[in-house]
Amino acid sequence: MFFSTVFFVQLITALLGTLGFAVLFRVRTKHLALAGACGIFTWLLYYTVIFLGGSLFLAAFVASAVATVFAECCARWRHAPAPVFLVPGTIPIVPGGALYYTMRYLLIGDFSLFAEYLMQALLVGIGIGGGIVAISVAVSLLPKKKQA
Amino acid sequence: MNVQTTNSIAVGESTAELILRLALDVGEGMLKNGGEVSRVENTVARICRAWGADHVEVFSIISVINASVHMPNGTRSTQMRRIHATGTDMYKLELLNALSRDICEHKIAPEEVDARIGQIKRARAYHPYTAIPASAVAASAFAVFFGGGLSEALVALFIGALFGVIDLFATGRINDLAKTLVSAFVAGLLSSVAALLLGGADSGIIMIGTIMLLVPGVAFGTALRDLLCGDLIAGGLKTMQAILASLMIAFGYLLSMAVMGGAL
Repeated sequence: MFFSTVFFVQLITALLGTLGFAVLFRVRTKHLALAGACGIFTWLLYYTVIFLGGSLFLAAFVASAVATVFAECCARWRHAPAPVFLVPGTIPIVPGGALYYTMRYLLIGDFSLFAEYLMQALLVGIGIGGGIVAISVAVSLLPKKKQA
Repeated sequence: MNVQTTNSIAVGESTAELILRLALDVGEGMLKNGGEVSRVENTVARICRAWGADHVEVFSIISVINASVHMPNGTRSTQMRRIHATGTDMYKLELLNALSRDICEHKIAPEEVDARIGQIKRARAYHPYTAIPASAVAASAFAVFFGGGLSEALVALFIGALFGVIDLFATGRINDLAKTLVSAFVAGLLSSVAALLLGGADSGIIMIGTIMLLVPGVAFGTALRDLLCGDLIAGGLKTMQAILASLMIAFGYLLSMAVMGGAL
């Protein structure tokens, strides 16, 4: 089921988490709404791709690529650097859970589970980085005007 | 000899020295507040060219900016900046970006730049204490996000607030890695104590929520981005930073486990 309880709980907490991080990163109040929207989009895409049966890597890649497009558009619209929206916006898909289990199984000494969660964390991390890079490269190929 | 000391522009500073110093001030501010290395390099080069430089070379990594500039009048200058303590302040980054844009569009003369940079250094979007509620909300939101209930959310709220306090007092005083270690230790200790006291609370979920505040997820993302864009040295250094931060989290958690006697 797409619209499960988990969906709504994660939707709201992803927004709250993104906003909390946005304030920690000192995103000014007039950009908070867009930074929050970026977080929601990122998480929504990640959730949808996984729901449709995509891999963690694909989900992270698609979500962060779309988040980068969104952030670049916001940057041009609001005359602010793209990281203002992108950095808080990718927070909801940061693999905190996978990293915790990686660490936990390392400490317990269960190396097969350790390797599994480490791979998960790395795949999501590389997916996020790859998505951002793919779009950043595309943006840098666009006709040059001035810095955003 | 009548030496003016009140003027911010140093006596005897050549054109090349002046414009490079100002361009580096902007670049340094960006790097200190979380700007990407490529942004810093582009900004410094663009500012120098906007002020008429013939030739600019900029090389930056996360802790150093090196730059060299040649002016048409024959003056030249090479300067470097060592950058300590970096944080993320998107408000300052935005203001510096706007300043750079104003310089490149010739809306502001070199003489006015010192004053603008001074203003930006003092500017703040939020009171420093807002870090406490912000990290409390973020930690408890992610505890629920990763499957926690009310008790996990409340404990994470408390630990998140504590992270905010640690952050306020530690930033600039102790090494960032040491701060991560202490935070992870505190989080591990408090979440297992809370799990013991509250019975039903899951210490793992609380840890995951609070760990989101420590995890170098963003750092790892930007490191990878730098690597793939060809900034190999900056990217490599950031990767090392992210790996070390992860190890510190694991180590802090391990210590808390040792103290609690494996009661997790």
